[in-house]
Amino acid sequence: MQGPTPAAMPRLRVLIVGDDNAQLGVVRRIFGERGHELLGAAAGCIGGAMVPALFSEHRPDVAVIDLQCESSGGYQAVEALRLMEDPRWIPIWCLGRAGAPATEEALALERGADVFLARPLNLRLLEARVAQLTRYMSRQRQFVRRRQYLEDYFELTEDEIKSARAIMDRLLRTQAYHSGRIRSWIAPAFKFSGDATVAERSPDGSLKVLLADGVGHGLSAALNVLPVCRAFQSMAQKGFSLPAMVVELNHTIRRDLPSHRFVAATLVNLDAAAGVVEVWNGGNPAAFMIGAAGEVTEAWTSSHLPLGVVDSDELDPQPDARVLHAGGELVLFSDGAIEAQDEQGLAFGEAALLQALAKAPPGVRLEALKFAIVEHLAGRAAGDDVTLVLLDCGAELRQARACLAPPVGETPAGAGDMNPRPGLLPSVLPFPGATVAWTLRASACGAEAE
Amino acid sequence: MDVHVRQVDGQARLELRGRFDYTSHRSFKQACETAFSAGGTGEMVLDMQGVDYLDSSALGMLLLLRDKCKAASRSVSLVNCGGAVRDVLRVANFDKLFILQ
Repeated sequence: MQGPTPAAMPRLRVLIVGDDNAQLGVVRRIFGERGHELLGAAAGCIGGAMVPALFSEHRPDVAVIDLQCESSGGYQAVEALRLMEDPRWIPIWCLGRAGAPATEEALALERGADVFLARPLNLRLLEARVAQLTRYMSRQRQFVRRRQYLEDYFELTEDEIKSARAIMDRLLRTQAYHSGRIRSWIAPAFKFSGDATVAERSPDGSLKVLLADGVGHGLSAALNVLPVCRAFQSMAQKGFSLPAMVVELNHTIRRDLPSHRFVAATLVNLDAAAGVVEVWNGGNPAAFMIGAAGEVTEAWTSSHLPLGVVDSDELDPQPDARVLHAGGELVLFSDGAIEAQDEQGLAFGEAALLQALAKAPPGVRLEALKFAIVEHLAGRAAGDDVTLVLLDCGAELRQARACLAPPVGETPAGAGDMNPRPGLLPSVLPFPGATVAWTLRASACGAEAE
Repeated sequence: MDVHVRQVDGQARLELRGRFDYTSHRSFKQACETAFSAGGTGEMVLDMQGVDYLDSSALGMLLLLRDKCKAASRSVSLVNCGGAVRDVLRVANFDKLFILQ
């Protein structure tokens, strides 16, 4: 797209206010000879009371007001013109009275005039003024065109951003997860989030979760995480293991993205049936398991380079596996959460984050942490995208046990609350309104849900 | 961010000051070009003492510098990394890529 072209010397629309007299006639002639358009010339004199109406009708580029004429209303016309709303700067010229005191120029300027022409007119000065005005107006028209161009460009860009965002949201399903078992919060620092979370159920019933944080901010960061999330979704649905996913995602970034557009990533495999949780953390803050009392029972600090920094054969794709004890919530967050700064520039920090989690009872910890971060920011925008993800491992465990238990005669503890409607297993979708086809240990549960 | 470049015995020393983030791209790139144009062959030292913040974009810039140095067979080390800077580098495991002092 090209910018506006430079404006040619403009033909000005000149509004002349005053009785027909010789001096005003000179002003008309000088403007007229230079090809400018004289407004109200045919009608002869124009009275001051008509000025606002004429102004609105003709949108002049300059107004010349003869202070000598009774009907022009003099200073009142100047003031009325100054009050007219117009995005352009419209110079007001005043033609002084014959034999006026020396203070008249100051008075005219004080009331809003831009140029004062003393009577009798100095022809040479008048010509110079008209030439100067033409130059100024040429620049002004250029500015107006540029501004218009920028406004149009801005509007177009906003539209494009809106549509790009809608596409990204669809592709990444960046809507937050609100279900009982997976809850998340993403607060983009800019229009696009460079953070993304994906949760997918594998065919064996294990839950795969990704928290990705693309380098940088905004659209370019969001574009970085897009292929990663898509690949993760597809591999999780097919039941790939975490090491295979780490290698493939790293390869995807190395192949598809410009160099050094790396992605910090935490991959989780929550396999409740096997009673293990595996975490691979490359470049994100530590992932924590929070016990029922709010205590940290496990921590997975970043032990790998972010994805996309080195070739896949230089990466260790093995996750850190731990036994999944009863209960517990797995908490993932991006660095934006702990780097959120308050007014004094003090970062929220990991300690405050863990404290906010510890203080809240299970089930409302995401909200509590969100509240603590928002309170810390105190109305300020976060400098980086903030993402929180909480996984209710206890609910996953209960469901896995329920599915494995014999269905006849007895109801395993905790199973009832997970399956309020028989035959609709599981009751939890990744996010509201989504239709995610998943098979949850079909053989064990004897039920498929969609 | 301000970057001051000094050449000592073929070693290039970049002294960084301020927030090293996505807004520092131009100043960092220029400083790197200055450092390389001197034609030294020794170590490239980044003095991080004056850096109070480092974001992921800065890490990306460090990776670019590492590639350039690798191509020129020069080593890169980061010295005087303060608490916040050290934390970010540690989380990203950049100690696997750079000599940290």
